[in-house]
Amino acid sequence: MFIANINELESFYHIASSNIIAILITDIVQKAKMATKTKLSSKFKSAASTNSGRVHVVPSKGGWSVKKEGASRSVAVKPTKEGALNAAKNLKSVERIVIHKKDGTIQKNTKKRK
Amino acid sequence: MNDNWVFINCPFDNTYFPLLKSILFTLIYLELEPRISETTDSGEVRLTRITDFMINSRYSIHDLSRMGPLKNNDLPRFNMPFECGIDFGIKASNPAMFGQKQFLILEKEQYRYQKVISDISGNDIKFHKEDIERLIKIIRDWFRPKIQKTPYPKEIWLAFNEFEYDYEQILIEAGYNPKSIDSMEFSEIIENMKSWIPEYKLKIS
Repeated sequence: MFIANINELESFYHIASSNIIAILITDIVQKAKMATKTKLSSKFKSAASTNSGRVHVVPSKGGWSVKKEGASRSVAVKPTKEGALNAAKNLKSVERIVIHKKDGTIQKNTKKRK
Repeated sequence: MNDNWVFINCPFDNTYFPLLKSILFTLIYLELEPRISETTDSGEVRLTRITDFMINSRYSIHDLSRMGPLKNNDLPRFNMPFECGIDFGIKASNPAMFGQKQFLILEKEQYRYQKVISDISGNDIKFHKEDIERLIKIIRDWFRPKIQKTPYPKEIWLAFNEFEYDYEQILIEAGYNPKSIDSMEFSEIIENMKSWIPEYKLKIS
């Protein structure tokens, strides 16, 4: 590349510096995004492995399932939501009862009364 | 072509988002690799990317639920039938190379497709009624003869519910809206599911 005068040099400097700044900003943003991703990913890993004392009340084919976290299958299946809630309340070592909607999202998340 | 890659062609909107999450979750639970384009991809990039996914995926899931408008004043979406057509074209273009490709076509209502896209009759078309538990079972049942380990549909459904709890809590804590399809890129949702599912399986084993 041939630079003929000081104006061209100045213009080249502005283009080059703005490009460098853009590259630096992109790099910073990407590193920040990557850090957030890693952080969230490790939160998911830790959330799945933690035994939290929660019981999930889930609408399912044939009624409502009651499943303790950490258990491989439901501890009870009741024809009604109320029946499932009562079964959840009667479980030992349960701290929270999470009731789900038909799409899997949370309808209610309450602390179990002692 | 990768034997465990599954290309997903489905609507990208907040109403469909819970169904999309359940599709991704079920595939990862079955130890398959979902392939999906990002909503942020521009038109040309998107089409190149999805064609690349189709060429390299042994399986495809095409959900044509939006062949009708979502609301009264909306227009129907043609991206899904368009992409489905490309996939069928790839398969037909070279039977020696792509003859083993298999498609699962999803629809919301039974027989509606016969009125608007009858040419696909004779394929595996299942209707999910926008019911997630049913959708999980459809996907699991479709893959059962094709893969080695298939847990019961209920195991996946209960696991998905627990994942949803953690998903909501973690996203709220991080300042995101868990109900929005735009909160996180699909690649990140997939990555988080891949972090969560093996730990969950270990916990219940």
